[in-house]
Amino acid sequence: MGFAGLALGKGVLLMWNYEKRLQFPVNITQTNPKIAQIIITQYGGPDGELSASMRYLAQRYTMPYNAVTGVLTDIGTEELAHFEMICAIVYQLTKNLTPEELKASGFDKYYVDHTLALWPQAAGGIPFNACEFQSKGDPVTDLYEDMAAEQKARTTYDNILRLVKDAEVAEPIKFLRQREIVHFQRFGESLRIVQDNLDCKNFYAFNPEFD
Amino acid sequence: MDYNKQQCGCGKDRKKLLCEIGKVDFALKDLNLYLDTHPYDQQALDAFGRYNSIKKQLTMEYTENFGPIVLDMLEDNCQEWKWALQDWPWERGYY
Repeated sequence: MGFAGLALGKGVLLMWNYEKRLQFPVNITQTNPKIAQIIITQYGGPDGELSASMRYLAQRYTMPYNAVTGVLTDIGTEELAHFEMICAIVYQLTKNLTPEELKASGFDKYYVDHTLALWPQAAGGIPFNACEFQSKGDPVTDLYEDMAAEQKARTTYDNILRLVKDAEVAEPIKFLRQREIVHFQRFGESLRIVQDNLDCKNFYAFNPEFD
Repeated sequence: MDYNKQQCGCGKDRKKLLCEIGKVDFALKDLNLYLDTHPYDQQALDAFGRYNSIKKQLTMEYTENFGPIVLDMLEDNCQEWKWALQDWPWERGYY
């Protein structure tokens, strides 16, 4: 993503620049609608990249510590590039499917509503829902939420990698899995920054986003 | 007119150059997140500056030979809006 997304604090007018490339290459030569149906969950599912991006970008406005606001902004921005990768994988896995292939794979249920367009849903067909991310307005609560979200996404990628052996699909999924671990680390450091600013005898004496 | 040529006149490979940009940008993104929580780490600050100028250099090279990746950098004397004429990155073979 663009330079404008770098380390902006509160009160800065934000905009995003699009870079015309994926964060990690996706080039899938064999269609596989069954696998597409599983991977789409990391677009619109409960622990997907869309939910991750919206979670962090929503939480940052009331975050009182600029360094942590930077982490939320920059990871939230990276997640946009991640759901673009997930969408590219699903798009390439379902390109030019025939009605026979749709019926045989079970992708016909998705197809009837969306043809071969991308639409955010979980693997089980449940539509994307804002209830899947929390913006609670308390930095300790929100950062624990974010750390859990990164681990849940990592588990989902582990689950996907048990089902997907084709390297063309597995390599970009492995890249995304690694990023969850890095983000978990940065959110852990963010929590430490928050706690360093609180009363060390009682982290819950007040809520710095409200009191 | 081939809007997605793979080799430029001087023999450079489009995918290889794009891959180089991706690698440098990956280092930048990781340093960016690290610096957010370690804003005084001089070694990381220096590395960010170094990779940033490499990325700018590679992006300029790509833009001149194959077309734009970002709109704040366009090829000299551009006569057509390659941004919209060329493939988008989710197409097979773009990477």
